[in-house]
Amino acid sequence: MKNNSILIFKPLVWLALAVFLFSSCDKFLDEMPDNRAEVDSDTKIEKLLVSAYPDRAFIMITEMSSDNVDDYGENNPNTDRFVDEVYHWQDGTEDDNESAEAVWAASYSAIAAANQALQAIEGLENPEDVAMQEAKGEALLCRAYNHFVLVNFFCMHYNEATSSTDLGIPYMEEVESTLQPHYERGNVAEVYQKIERDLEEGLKLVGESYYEQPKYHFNKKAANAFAARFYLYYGKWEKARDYATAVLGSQPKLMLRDWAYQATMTQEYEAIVNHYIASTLNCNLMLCTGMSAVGMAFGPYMYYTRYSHGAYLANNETGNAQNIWGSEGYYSPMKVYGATNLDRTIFWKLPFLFEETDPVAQIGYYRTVYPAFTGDETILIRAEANVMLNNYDAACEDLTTWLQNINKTSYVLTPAKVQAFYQPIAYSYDDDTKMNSTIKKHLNPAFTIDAEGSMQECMLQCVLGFRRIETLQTGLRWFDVKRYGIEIVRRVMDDKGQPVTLVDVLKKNDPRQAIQIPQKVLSAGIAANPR
Amino acid sequence: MYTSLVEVVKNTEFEDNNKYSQSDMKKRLTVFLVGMFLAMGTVLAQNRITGTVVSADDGEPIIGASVLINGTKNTGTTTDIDGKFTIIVPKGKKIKVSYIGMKETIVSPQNGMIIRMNSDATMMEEVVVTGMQKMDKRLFTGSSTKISAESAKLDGVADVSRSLEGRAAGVSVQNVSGTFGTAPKIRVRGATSILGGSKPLWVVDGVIMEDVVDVDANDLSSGDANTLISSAIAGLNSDDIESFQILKDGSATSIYGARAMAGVIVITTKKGKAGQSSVNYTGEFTMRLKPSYSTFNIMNSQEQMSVYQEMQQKGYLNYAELSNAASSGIYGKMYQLISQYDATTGQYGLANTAAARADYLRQAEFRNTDWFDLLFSNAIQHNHSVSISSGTDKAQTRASLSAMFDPGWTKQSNVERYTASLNSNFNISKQLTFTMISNASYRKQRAPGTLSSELDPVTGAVNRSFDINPYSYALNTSRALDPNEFYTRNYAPFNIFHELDNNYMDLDVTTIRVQGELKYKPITKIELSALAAYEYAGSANAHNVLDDSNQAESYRAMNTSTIRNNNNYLYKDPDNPYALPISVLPNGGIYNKTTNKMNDWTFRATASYNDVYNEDHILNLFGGTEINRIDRSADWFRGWGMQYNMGEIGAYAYEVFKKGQELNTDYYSMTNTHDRSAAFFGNATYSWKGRYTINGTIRYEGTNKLGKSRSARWLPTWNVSGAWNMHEEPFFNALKSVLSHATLKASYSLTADRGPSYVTNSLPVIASSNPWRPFTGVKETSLYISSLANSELTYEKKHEFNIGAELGFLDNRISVEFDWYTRNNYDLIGVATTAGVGGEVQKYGNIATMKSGGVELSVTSTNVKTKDFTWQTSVIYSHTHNEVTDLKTSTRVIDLLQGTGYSLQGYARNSVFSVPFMGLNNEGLPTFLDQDGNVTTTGIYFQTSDEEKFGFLEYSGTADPTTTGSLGNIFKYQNLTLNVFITYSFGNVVRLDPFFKKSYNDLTAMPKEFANRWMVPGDENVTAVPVMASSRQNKNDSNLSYAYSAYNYSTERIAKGDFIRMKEISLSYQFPRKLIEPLNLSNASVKLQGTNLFLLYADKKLNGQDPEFFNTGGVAVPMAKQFTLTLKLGI
Repeated sequence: MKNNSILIFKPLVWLALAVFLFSSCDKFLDEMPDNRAEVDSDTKIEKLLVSAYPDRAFIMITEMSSDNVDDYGENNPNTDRFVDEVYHWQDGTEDDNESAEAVWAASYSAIAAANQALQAIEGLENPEDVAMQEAKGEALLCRAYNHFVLVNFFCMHYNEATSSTDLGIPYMEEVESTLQPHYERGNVAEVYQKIERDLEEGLKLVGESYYEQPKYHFNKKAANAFAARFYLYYGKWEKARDYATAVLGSQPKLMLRDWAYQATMTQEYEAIVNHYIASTLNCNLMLCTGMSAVGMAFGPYMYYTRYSHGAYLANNETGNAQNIWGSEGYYSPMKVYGATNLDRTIFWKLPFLFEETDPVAQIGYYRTVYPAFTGDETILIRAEANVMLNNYDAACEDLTTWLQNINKTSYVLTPAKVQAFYQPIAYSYDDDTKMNSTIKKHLNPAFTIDAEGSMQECMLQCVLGFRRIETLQTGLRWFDVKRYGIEIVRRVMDDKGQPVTLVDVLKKNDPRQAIQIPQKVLSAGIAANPR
Repeated sequence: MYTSLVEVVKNTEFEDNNKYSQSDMKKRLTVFLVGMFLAMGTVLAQNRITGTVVSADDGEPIIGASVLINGTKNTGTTTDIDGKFTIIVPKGKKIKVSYIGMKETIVSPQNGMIIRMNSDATMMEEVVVTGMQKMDKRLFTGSSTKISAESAKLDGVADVSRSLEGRAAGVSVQNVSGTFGTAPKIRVRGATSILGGSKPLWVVDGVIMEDVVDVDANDLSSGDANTLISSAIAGLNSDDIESFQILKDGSATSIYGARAMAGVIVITTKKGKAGQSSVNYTGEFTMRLKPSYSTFNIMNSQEQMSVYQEMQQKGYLNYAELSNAASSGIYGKMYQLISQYDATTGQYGLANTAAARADYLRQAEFRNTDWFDLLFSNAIQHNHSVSISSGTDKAQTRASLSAMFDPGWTKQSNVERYTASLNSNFNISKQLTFTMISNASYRKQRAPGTLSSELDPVTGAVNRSFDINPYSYALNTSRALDPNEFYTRNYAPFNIFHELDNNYMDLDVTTIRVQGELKYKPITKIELSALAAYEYAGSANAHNVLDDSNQAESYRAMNTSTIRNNNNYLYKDPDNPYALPISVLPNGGIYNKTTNKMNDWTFRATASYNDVYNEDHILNLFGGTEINRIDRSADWFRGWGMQYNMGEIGAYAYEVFKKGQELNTDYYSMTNTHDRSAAFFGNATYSWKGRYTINGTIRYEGTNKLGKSRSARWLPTWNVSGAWNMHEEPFFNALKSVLSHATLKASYSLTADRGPSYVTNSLPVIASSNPWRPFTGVKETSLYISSLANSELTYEKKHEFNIGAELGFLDNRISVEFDWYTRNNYDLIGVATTAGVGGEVQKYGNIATMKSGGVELSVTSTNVKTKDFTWQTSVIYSHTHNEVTDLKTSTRVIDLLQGTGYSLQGYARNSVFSVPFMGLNNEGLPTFLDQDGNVTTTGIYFQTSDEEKFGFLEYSGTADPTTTGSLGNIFKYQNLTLNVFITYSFGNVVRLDPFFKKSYNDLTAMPKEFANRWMVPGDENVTAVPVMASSRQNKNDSNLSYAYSAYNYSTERIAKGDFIRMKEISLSYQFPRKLIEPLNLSNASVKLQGTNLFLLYADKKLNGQDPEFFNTGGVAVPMAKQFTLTLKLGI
């Protein structure tokens, strides 16, 4: 009894016991609550970077906002509220896998993965190892690319004059660790500077040694293609040209899509679109996946047919319009669909696929795969940069390579022929109704170009026209519209597929060129785009 | 001898020396040496008496009772924690036992005696069992209700948690599903969290019972398969339970501090008693009534066929549409018969003539299939339990076995449950006791095969593929169908009876619990205790989809090229451009297996000190530490092509794996989780003369649940409280003839909870995944940030202020308990809308606050008490209300319209809103007031999260009842007892079944109100039931589904959830001893009980829908109306 009593009431014994218990408790509580991973090894960092690419696509919004679609009228029921709003450049109210909110979250989520990887590399014992330097390169490129998507999507396009005051997007360089931190949007010029910084450093470091699927990562060619597009959008023409050359090499044609081969394949939709996104093709520099219905919206389906790239657009503005090379056809001609509530002329490009999370209950997501960068687009980047650098012959050489690759023609472009063909053509919307189409539109870029009808302006019309055909159904036309301040219309087509009512015009500096920040993000205190 | 002498020395010579400091000990030892000789001399002339003081009410020991030699003031002792005392009594003297709140008792001393004290306020229970401590009720300052299992038990209801309905003020029990194994929705004083379950903590014999799977309170009504293992205590045999103690306010629960925000329910199991040996048998035989169409509002087959006729006129149910339709009924079958040529007879299944068709349809018109009668059964559920109880002073034991057999109320819903328990207590020495408790149960259950339900965010409809729940089938299936015929579902033949036989789940649930507790008393006033407990719970759920089931057959349905192209269950190889859709399940069925396991270890060490100084100062100290470790694992597997018919061999098509890779589908999965927690706690109570009591508790708890951050994991919780036993005051004696008892209590506390189980991101959560890729050749695995870090993550917390009063009138013939409380819930986890710049627009975080409060009243009265007849009445009333005071989150309109409710700032948690219905238009389509103040049919934007556009919604009420309670009457005449027990619940709203659609098929049953639908222009003036849209109307307006969805969510389709239920009527008879003694029985009784018999009141709009029950299909069925015969025999 004596011993017990003393033991029990000796404060020191208790204190020692408590300290022991407490410290051992903390260790006891360090056990992870579930099977989460800790990013503490090379392999884990490499795996983390697989999620540094967005799993949503901006294509539906940018394509539906661009002049690549017309409104086939309210009697066409194949639409929904989401795309109604997108088409009319309205602020979005609808939840959708492809809404502005989805684009915003997916890009920033990819950025978070990149930042988490960068943080983890810093914490390693040997951050200077080759693989980890390459991983750092990939992370920086991913961070730059996702910000590049965000800034072009949600902001006015970069231009020297106003970008230091135009609202940008927050540039994230750290992993968020508190619940609701406050962010400022900064300005577009700042964002472009930071993208350039990350891009340049990433380009130096990037390698391909650890990629299991190099076409789903920033391989060296994809990184250069990104740099080419970035500098094109930045208006730094020499750099755009040089990085494009780094992609295309000495025989650019080998880096282009083999349209001639594709024409020999079975002409089944699913076969062609699956081939279009094959990772084995040289032209597909980098592939991304997205929860997206673009495969249906721009494929042979009765889906979203109210807003469609119809015969009128194809025949007057884009792929099937009378063009410089004459009447020779494409290796894979555009497919023309017509029926009640269906007027659609398309290339077979992006697939409509399905992710089935539960095959028994049939639950899952619409999916597509899209080439984020292609050799074909990159050669047109170089052509455009050369036009801006007044190297018209070099530009024509690339344009000819591109043309003869997609089209069976043997037509060779020269600066003179380009000017001769384009100069007399009238501009779209210059008629009395203000909505009829030609293959030319007025260009109002923030940078200086020569006057309308000049060699340079005609060359630009040609490049932009080719770019429009090349990027049809992949969402990039919208950025060309922004870059060149091209005014585009919203018009309703009649039952013969001809424009009948002019609804709206997107002016050259229209604030609606910057897609509105998502509703929820606005409610969290991010500044709205002016309207 | 050694100790007893010390006791003598201490009690006689140093009565008031109770300070156990070190120096005192030394002093005492020297005194002891001297005193030993002095005492020796007197021992011979005195009797040393050891005895126990217990309460006469419940036999529980009385701690700290004063035992004096009658006539002296100071010569005596106090009882220890077991009520034991030892005293030296001079010959011829009596002893006087007194205790606060008890009638003073004077007895002649006798060694080993048990002194039973009667309460002078008989309504009081003597001990409050908090699970960790036994507290003297008079010193207990918290709000708590004790329910004896015997009085609450609902015979024939195997899950004891359901029997708490209406038994305690402040406790609401909502039987959202009646299926065995599913937990009812239990709330103690309402909701305490926005997203968390607000589920009370279950404590059985001092150990917290953990769930095998965490099923959120809202998911309890989902009907999904995991609800079958949502009840933590389904493995407890109700016959083994002694009592429930419900701890309600922060003072009562604070010893569980950081887990006890939603209240604690403490279960004490029965134990063996010294000196009593008995064998008891209880048998329960239950018959459940089949539901009847007469109580529901469903069209008979004649009315139904006339609706189909109208559908045909409106352009539906034609041959072209139905012959290749995914699902069809009467009409689809007719077309199949017409084109079915039998070569042997040379005839078609049905002649394609107007007369033959009319005859076929006429048969359907008169069919009136009673699906309830066919799918339900009256078969008897029986439960047998046997217990043996025995004990001596040294050891007491109780052992029990039980077996329950339930052939099933519906087809494919049988259950068997076996339980065993062993509860032993050994008094190893005077200082040392050891208690062992072990408990095992096994459950084997069959349920209709079910898949998880999914919410369509656009229309808000809840869908469940391949649902074969018999209850919802009977309610939703046209009565014109022939029960012996196969119709078409998912392109394959379907018959409910065939499907139930071929698509079912087999569930095995095992729980084992062992615990041991060692108690050591170095000296009387101190008790040290060490408890170790281990629990294992495992469940395996095999979902068998047999070869011939509709679900398996639909994977190979390709009778026509149209079906082959349309059937989504078929697979088309993307690598082969010429491929035709093929079946990935050419043979056999699908075997799905889910297993869940939990291992739970608890270790606890406590010390307590009880003392009384000078009779006036009572001091209790209690402290300890507890660590807890839980490991859970869940795995799932899906086997394709299990050939049940061919000797159970798996024969899968390789394409199933190719398809799985291309579509990113798992075929197996594994999840392991680990909970670790550690806590230190202390509690102190001081009372002066039992009149004034103050109490304080502190608990410091840590858990790994919030992640590896050491800053977030620790939380202190506390309470302070006091009680005033007014009846102990001298001035009270004047009132005693009327007011016999009065206690006032107040408490203020901080308690907490860890929030929803999925919020664990104090550091970033990095998870692994298989990102979707189009082809198998380009797949790679990835890690991704599944939750960004939230360094501010903390526990959900609650401040509570409680005032209570306990009053007894007329010698406690009438007793009244009243509590009032107000609560401030803060740091609640909600969905925060962020700038999304971190990568997540919506994140879980501690952003919400909620105010709540309520009143509780219970009155018991013995109205009549004569020798032969007593009549007791009890009334229980509780009201709770809450308001979400701060919740900045992003909400969509569709969320606010759901019947399960949603939380919006400024409204009660789980509020339900409705679209304002504005009557029908001249086409019979419903019109509504929209977000811009216009009247519209299809213009309701369900998905908008723009709060400025929420104004048009009408607040309908909350989904949780606010007022609950009961009225009970017990009449006893000699050996006969009649019990009439009514429960009630008020204050919530219920969404009516979302029946209306833009188009219907020929399988659906329609409610009778459909007969009043809009038919011709002008009807809009007399009816609010919208038109059945014609196929032309649908073609012209593709958005019509918005109109019908809006109607389902409109002010027209909401009802009050109020009800008054006849919960129990029972008549029992206790056979008189004379009669049973010849049979060697010590007691025998028989009881007939009717449970859930009928609703005395419910909103007429519900038309027979049970307001408690959520008809969500899957495994959910309502509580049955049932009769139970109970036989009890004791030897």
